[in-house]
Amino acid sequence: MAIAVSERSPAEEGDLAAQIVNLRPRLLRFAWSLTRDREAAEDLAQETIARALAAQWRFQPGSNLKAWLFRILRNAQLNLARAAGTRPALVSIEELGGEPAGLHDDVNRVEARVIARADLRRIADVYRTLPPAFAGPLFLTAIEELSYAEAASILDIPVGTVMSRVYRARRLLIARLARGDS
Amino acid sequence: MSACATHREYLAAVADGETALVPRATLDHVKSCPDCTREIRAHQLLALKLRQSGDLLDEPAPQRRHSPLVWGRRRVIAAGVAAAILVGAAGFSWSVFSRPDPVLAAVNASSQPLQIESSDPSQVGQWCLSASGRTLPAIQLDGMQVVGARMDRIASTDIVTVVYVAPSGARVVVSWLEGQSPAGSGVEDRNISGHELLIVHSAVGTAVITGSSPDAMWQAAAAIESTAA
Repeated sequence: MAIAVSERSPAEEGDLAAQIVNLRPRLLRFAWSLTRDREAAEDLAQETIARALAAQWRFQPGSNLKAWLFRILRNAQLNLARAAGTRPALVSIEELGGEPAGLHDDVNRVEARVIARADLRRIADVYRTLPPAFAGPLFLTAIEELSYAEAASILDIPVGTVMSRVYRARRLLIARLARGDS
Repeated sequence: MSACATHREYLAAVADGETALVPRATLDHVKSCPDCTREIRAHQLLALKLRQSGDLLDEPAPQRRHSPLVWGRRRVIAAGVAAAILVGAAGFSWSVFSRPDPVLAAVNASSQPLQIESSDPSQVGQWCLSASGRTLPAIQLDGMQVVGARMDRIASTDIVTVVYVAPSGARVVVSWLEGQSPAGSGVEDRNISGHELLIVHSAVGTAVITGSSPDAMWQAAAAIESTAA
């Protein structure tokens, strides 16, 4: 039976642990984008850090620590849901159904200027109104700047689905900014 | 059904540089389609702003917020009305040093020669400090190359103007208004006799932006907001 042995020195392990803990705010944001529940998000972030610290030896030096942690978080969410006999409510038929009439026209009318005019707080407020199915892919790609492939791996969905949801998420955001929704 | 319809779903991927996932036909289409190009630009700007708003995502969503921004906009509208009156009375001239409106004064200053030329932000910052006696809220702006600066005193108000070159090569001029304590945040665009300008109210101060390219001006505005955040 193979036994995994950490090849890192204690100092390196300490550094990695510190990096993991320092990423807690980003984990919390990602968890919130998936759950829309502050308490559940904090539990998930905490669970992720605990799992990551216990499995540090699995992290490949040179790979993306943030993506690794996000994957752990997503798995933790699925496991918790499985244990509770539920599935994360990631998407509704309405959310994935047809887009609101005139959305493309809104986007074209709005253009970049209206987005630039919106202050950052307003954009954050509107982002928080997005359905989790859209917020997760958008968070990973736009805010955390991960590739579509990395986001697909973390969320365990096809890369084409990531592409579609990122697109719809952005168009929803733009339309809501234009209409003054909150 | 327009020709764009079949390509729309790929526009965010194009904006994000994920072109390996995008069909060749879509890449060919967007090169010659102004509507799709405009939407791609909107996606890119939105992504930039989302990244900049990252820290704000931790805050709970307010039920309703309006007063700071509304007051900020009212201030700008009031300034706009005052400017319009000034323009009407004077038959508009870019030489308005005799008038106290700080926005017009900033526009005037933006076309004046530089008093220091340097691409070193810290050197420009030091010069601004010695010339105006105050530290500027931001010298280095994301993606912008500093070119130089000048300082003007209009009716006891210092206006420190910093000139940049955007990655596109466009010239952008940022004039910081002294004593304009911001009541909110946001960017307003104004047009004075065909000259576009932006007024940025941020947590760190108020700046008037002019330049040769609207895109570069908005980029500078976003960078100032980012600095403030």
